Amino acid sequence: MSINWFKFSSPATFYPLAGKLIPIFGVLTALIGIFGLYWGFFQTPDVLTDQKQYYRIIFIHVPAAWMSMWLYVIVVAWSLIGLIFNARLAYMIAAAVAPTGAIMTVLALFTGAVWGKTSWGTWWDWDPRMTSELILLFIYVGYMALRSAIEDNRRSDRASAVLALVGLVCIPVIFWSVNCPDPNQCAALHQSSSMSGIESNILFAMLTMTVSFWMYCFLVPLMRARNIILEREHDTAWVTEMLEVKK
Amino acid sequence: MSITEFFHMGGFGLFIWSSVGVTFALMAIEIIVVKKQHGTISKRLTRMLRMNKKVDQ
Repeated sequence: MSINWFKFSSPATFYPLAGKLIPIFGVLTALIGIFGLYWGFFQTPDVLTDQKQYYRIIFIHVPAAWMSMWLYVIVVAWSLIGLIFNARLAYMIAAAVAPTGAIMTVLALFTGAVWGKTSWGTWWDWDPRMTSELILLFIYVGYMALRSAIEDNRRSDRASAVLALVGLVCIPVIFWSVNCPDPNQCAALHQSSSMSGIESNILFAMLTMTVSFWMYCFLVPLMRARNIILEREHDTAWVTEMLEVKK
Repeated sequence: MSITEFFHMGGFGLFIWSSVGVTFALMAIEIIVVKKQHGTISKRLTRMLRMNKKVDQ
């Protein structure tokens, strides 16, 4: 079966499709999230060798941190598609994803601070991982501020897409801030993100929560994309037609 | 494990539940805000449409 992907690059086709997908992602977010939390709180050991119950923050912290970085890659990917194909829908999706990415970054920083207080005895440290994650938050905020500062949609699309591309440099810095080949060269307080040695139930709950967060990261940007489309395409025939049918 | 023990989390309840709570609160607020925006935009556009029609008539 061949799918004409270019058909979906039209806001008029994407809008109703997104409307159909939203409830599906909503249900998936809730069900998988409830299951993940149940597993994380009831099927895992209370105390580990080096961490007590507070390690359970992992079920929120890791998914939020992963999504904060992943969503930035998505913003850049859509911005790039927008720049290459001059596709206005791609810019709109990038704009719809960014605020959710910023929220994920705030959550990663907040839960990280709380976990840091219990585990290291400090809310904050200018450690490479935390500092680079904070810079990511500033990049998200800068991207959103630039978009809203330029009135002309086409110019704001292109300017913010270029800014997003430049900001991509932050992602490998965040990743390698704790995973550098020579541990002596990056003395981070934050532990490296190795999956080995993690108890299987904890890993399972963490990955389940990640899937739930991922579904959420489809849900809200799809909702926001529809708002952006409505706002921007309000003088087109299909929006007028749709509003008339709704009345 | 009793309910009190569950919420106490070995003395770390405040840390764990604040993480979970803030996450849910932010997610819920984001959904509500985006949903409200949708309502506001639709209403405004419908009103504009009606006004334009009146002008045309």
